[in-house]
Formats: sequence, C-alpha cells, structure tokens
Amino acid sequence: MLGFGILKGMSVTLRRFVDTYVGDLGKFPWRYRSRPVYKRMGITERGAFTIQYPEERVAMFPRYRGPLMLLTDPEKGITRCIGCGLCERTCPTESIKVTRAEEKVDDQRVPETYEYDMNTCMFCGFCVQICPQDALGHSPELEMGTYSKGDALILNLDQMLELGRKHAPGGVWPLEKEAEPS
Amino acid sequence: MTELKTETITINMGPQHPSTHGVFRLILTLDGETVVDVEPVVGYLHRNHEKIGEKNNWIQNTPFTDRLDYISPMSNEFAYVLAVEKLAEIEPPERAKYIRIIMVELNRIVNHMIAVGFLLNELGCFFTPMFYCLRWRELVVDLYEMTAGSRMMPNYFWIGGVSADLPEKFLPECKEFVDAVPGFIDELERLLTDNEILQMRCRNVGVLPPDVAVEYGCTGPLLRASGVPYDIRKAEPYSIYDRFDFDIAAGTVGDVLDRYLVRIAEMRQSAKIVEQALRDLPEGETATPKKRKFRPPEGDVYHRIEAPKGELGFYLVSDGSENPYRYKIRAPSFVNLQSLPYMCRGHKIADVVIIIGSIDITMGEVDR
Repeated sequence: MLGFGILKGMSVTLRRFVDTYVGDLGKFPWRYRSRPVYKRMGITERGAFTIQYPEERVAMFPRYRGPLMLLTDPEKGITRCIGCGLCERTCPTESIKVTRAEEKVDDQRVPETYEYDMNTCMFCGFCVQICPQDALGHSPELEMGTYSKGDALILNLDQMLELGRKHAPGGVWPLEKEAEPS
Repeated sequence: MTELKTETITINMGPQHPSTHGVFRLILTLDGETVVDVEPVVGYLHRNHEKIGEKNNWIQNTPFTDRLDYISPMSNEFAYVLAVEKLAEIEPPERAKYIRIIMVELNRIVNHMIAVGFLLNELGCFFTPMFYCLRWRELVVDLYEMTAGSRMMPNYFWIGGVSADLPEKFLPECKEFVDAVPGFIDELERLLTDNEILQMRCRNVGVLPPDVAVEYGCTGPLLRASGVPYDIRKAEPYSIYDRFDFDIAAGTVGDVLDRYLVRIAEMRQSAKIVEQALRDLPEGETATPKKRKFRPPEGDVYHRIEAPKGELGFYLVSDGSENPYRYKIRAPSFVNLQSLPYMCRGHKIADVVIIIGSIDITMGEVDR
C-alpha cells in the first residue's frame, strides 16, 4: 500500500516526540537548572539529549586535552619544569618557547620564561606525553574566547603556573576526577 | 509549429552550498532541468598537507592525519601508523591491536551514520534522521574523549601502539553501546527504508555499473553497492582483521538506494566486529616504549586500509632521516569523486545533490 512506509516512519518520530516530553516530566518543575550537570546522558536513556549550555555544563573527562598548564610539585612548592625545551622541539606547530634560568632553585633547574601560544596550538598533546618531568598537563578549560586576538591567548610562565595550581593542586595529570568547567 | 530554439545554460553550484559537504564547486551544464555535463572544481580547502608532512618528523604527522577526513579521524591515523610500522618493522602489542580495531570500527559506524543522515538531509527530510544519528555519534565521540582526550582530533594511535590504555569506564560503556546500536539501526530502517518518497527519489538514480566503478578506481561502499564485493579487510587482511568473522555487504544495481542499504548493512557488521574485539581483548601492554627520535630505515612503503569511505593509502618514502622524504596520500573521497560526472549525466539537477550525498565525500580529504 502506498504510504504505508511513511506511516511506519512516522510511528518512530511520534515515539521520539512523546519520549521528549516524558523525559521532561522527570525533571519537573524545571527543565534545566542553573548549575553544572555532572552526568552525561546514558546510552539507553530516551528523551532530549541536548544540554542547555551556559546554564548546564557537562564535566570534562580527566584526560580532556585543553590548554596547557605547568604543574607545581606540592612538596617543593615550585614547578617541576626544568626548562629542558623538549616540549618546544616536539611541538608540531611551534607554539611553545621556553628558556632555562641560570640559577638553580632548590637544587633544581627552573625555566626563566615560558611562552605558550594558544593561537596556533592544535592540542595534540605531544608536549605532555614527551615531558620527562611530567611537568605539563592539560587544563579542563573550555571557554577560551577573548575579546582581542593575539596577546590575550599567549600565556606566560606565571599564567600557566596559575592554571596548574587552580586545576591540578595535586600536581598530576591526568586529573584524578572529572573536572567541572570553570 | 516551428521548432523552439534552445541552448544549454551553465550554472555554478557552490563553493558555498550547504549540500556539497564543504567548499566544493560544480560547474553544471543544463538543458532545461536535465544535467548535460558536470565539472567538479576542487582545491578550495587546499592546505599543503603533504608538504607539511615532509616538514614534520615521523611522529609529528599523526595529529595532522586527523584533519584529513575529520568525520573518521581514527581511520586516518590507523592507515598512517600502519604504514610507518610496516616501514620500520615495528610490531605493536596485542592489546593495542585490539584497541585499534575497536576504535576504527566505532569510527565506521559513526561515519556511515553521518553519511546516511546527510543523505536524508539532501533528500529534503531536514535534520530528523540527522539528529537521531548525531545523538549516537555523540556517544562515540564521548568514548573517544574519555580515552584520548579529544572528540574529533583524538591523536590516539602511536607508532607502535596507542597513547594510553583504555580508561576503566570505557569497556562497560562501549559494550553497552555495541549492544544498543543494532536496535537503533533497526529503528532507523523502520523510519527510512520503506519510505516511499525515499525509494522514489533514490531508485535508479546515479547508477554506477560495476565495470565503470572499477575503471574509475572507486572503492568502499560506492564500489560494493555496484555489486563488486571488494573489501580490503577481506581481500588483503591487514592488522588482525583475519581473526574476526564478518560479511561484506554488496548491492546489486549500484544506485543511491543501494549505497544507502550497503552503509546500513556495514554498520551492523562493524558492531559485530567491535563485539568480537571486546570479547577477545587481551590484557597487557598497550605501546612499545616511545622514542624521542625515530628514524626508520631507508626505503619506501605503501599501506592501504579500508577506511569508511574507501581505500585509504599512505605512500611514504624514507631517506633514513627524521622526516619523511615523500608523504603521499591516496584519499578515497578524491578518487570516488571522479565518478560524479558519469553518474549525474542525464539526471535532473535535484538529483545531483543526492548523488553527491551518496558518494559520501569529506572535502578535508579531497583537497588536503
């Protein structure tokens, strides 16, 4: 019968349509709330799959590759980075520039300057993988938008240490748990 | 009544056209609404990929291959990594091999879902099947993000293994996904396959006979839909594909409907392969120790895999240094696209759009 296939298809869309509203009823009285959601939707769950983004936020996986941060050794209180420059050499897009300080701090070499250019970074993660001191990590930052291009996205040593203290107080990457985006 | 004097008109379709899957221009010669000739113009997305590949060293090239066919990044990495491993004679650990198969086959499911979804978009069924499919793609990219750290550009495969072991939550979630996906494909078929409008629009449109498909060098679902059961996973098993039990889907006529049906059937087969790989997944190491400097011996190598879109091959020449001397890609979309003028001739202009959709091209791969 002509049109039977269309009707069969419409039964699927109708079911989805009903599912959406049934799913909403479970969230009564608010469709979404102004707080982060920590759970992604399961595979077998039905209903609306979308997230009301600025109000609802999904937690980032511990291995999520965001902008780089320099990790601080919680025992020594200084960065683990020894300024060897391997990250600079392994970077495919030449986004990292690092120089080593003359003097040692706490019997450890430290970087003098560290410049990380987020404009050209492609978040491949080679620098983190290659670092012999495990001093680099990916921060779970999600919103990297700025009002000006150029310098705003170039992070220096202090800014990267700040990111590290904020997101990885334990000084390890991958992070221990799923991180709530700031 | 005197004969009306008619002449053909030439119009541009694209480069900015929503149904050309990127920046792709077609010069159409039309006789009324019938297509007389089609001239594809490619190159709008050219970004010097192969030359950058010669500048990078062997290890640095992997994230760049993600950007070729951005719908199926894992397959691109797989082809490159296998080519380098063949050149340098590196054997990855068993667990890494199985993880790679899981990732690549999940990628095939995602790619075909996107292909089917966009085909329906182009048929005029705006976004309903597309979003049903995208929801399932989202679940797979979540699995990628959990494992590799990035949704679309995972950079997960290393030369000699994979970059990290699977996280704890991966195996149960992947199992749940693979168990649930055939149900979704059934639902998708219930929604679409018997639909009379889809059948009318797709049947006997863009027919590509098997001999012509072989002459043009088409591979992948496009070739199989024409009735040639050629799949590199079976014809020339690479990695560990000889250990899995799966069938090759093949069409009969070679029209748009057959390509749609072949993709649906391949999704089921891929789910079957992932299920077997999850069952057999061994314990152990996931990577050979990573070297900071990697210098393969002199020589050249060509390695090809069955990417979701067709035969993806990497031809690499090494002169014994840190960088490839030559880095050449045989991209399936580019080769499959050659058959477009043949398929479009004689059809209506509205059919051009669905024929492009049925080839399933990604411009990132065509232009490189």
